[in-house]
Amino acid sequence: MQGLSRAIYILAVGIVLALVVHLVVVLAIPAFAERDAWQRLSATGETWEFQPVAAAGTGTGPLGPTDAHFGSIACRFDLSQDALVVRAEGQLPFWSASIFTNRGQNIYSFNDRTAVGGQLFLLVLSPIQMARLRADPPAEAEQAVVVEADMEEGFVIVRALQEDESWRERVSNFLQAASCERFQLPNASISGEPDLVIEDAD
Amino acid sequence: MRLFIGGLAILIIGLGLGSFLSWVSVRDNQGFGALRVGPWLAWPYAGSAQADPYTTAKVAAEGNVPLGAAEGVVFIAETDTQNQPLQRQCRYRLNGKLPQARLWTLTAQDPKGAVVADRLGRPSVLVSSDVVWFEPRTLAVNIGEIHETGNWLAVDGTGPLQLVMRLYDSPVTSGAGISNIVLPEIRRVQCRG
Repeated sequence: MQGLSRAIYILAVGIVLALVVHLVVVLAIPAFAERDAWQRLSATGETWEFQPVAAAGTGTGPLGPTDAHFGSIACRFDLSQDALVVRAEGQLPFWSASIFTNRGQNIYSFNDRTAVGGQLFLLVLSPIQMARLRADPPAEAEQAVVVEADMEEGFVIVRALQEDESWRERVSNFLQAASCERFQLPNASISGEPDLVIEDAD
Repeated sequence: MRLFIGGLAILIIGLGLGSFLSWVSVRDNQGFGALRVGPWLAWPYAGSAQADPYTTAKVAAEGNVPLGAAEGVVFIAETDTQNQPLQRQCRYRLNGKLPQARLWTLTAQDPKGAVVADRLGRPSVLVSSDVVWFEPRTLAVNIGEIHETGNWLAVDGTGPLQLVMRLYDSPVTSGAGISNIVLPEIRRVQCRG
């Protein structure tokens, strides 16, 4: 009888431990995943450069299954270095863009209907860079979708619909000509230190 | 010695069961963050700040990039409306209302997520612009190897099948809410062999 109660005790403590292990493992996976989207993009492409994620018609790519009717590209950026500007030329029936942190959390997404004139022109800035932009906004910024993101490393993914083969060339031109670059803020100080006077002016 | 054996048993149960539970729950993830509509499953908050820990873990482990709220939402069906597993050797009829969306695609894939092919080797995909509507907002698609009149998603081969419905630029994710939506039924018509 003593053996039985001991076995029950061991089982009960084991199950409690199992639940703790389960919680820790599930919560730790995002931090320790070595094959998450950020790691995969880091392995196959440079920062500040678009890389193909999936060609239309394939439905698969380095980031797992994608929609076979879409071509997509991704670009890693780092707001602690510079603000980001993304541009693409051309009108398509549908495209979308999405900003993620390096942990794979979606910060912002939009599509061609949200963009000015259906053109992809995106600025992503940290709060400090945003304050500098607001202090002296360049005229071209009015045409842009401007996103303030309190983050450092991240990536942006652009997906473009290819309804059928007749769109293949236009979609692939759109994606190939898309640019992902450092955005030069007006009066960017060489030191990169935040200008407190300008920040207060906001 | 008895203390050692007891401690070892607790460790084995704890680590073994704990790891197994984590693996199964993250792989299947049909719990907290999953939305079920008939045979269709979606993880509408995947990748967002509102996502539950299981969905976040699944996205990280699989290296996926989920659609953002202004992009769309993905629904996956592994069974028909009668809860029978979908098979490539069977014909199905998909029928019913769709939520409002600017466009959508319907894809046939295998359990690993690879798009299956029709008899000519073309990917089994359908996009909303290809579709003929017989009734407003009511979609009817024949799925299988035999061509029938109306909308047709050609699927060839044998083995398990998944149907993926992707809605793009839909109020379902960009404001109106996803909890009360309706998706088409999937009815088995006939199977080969």
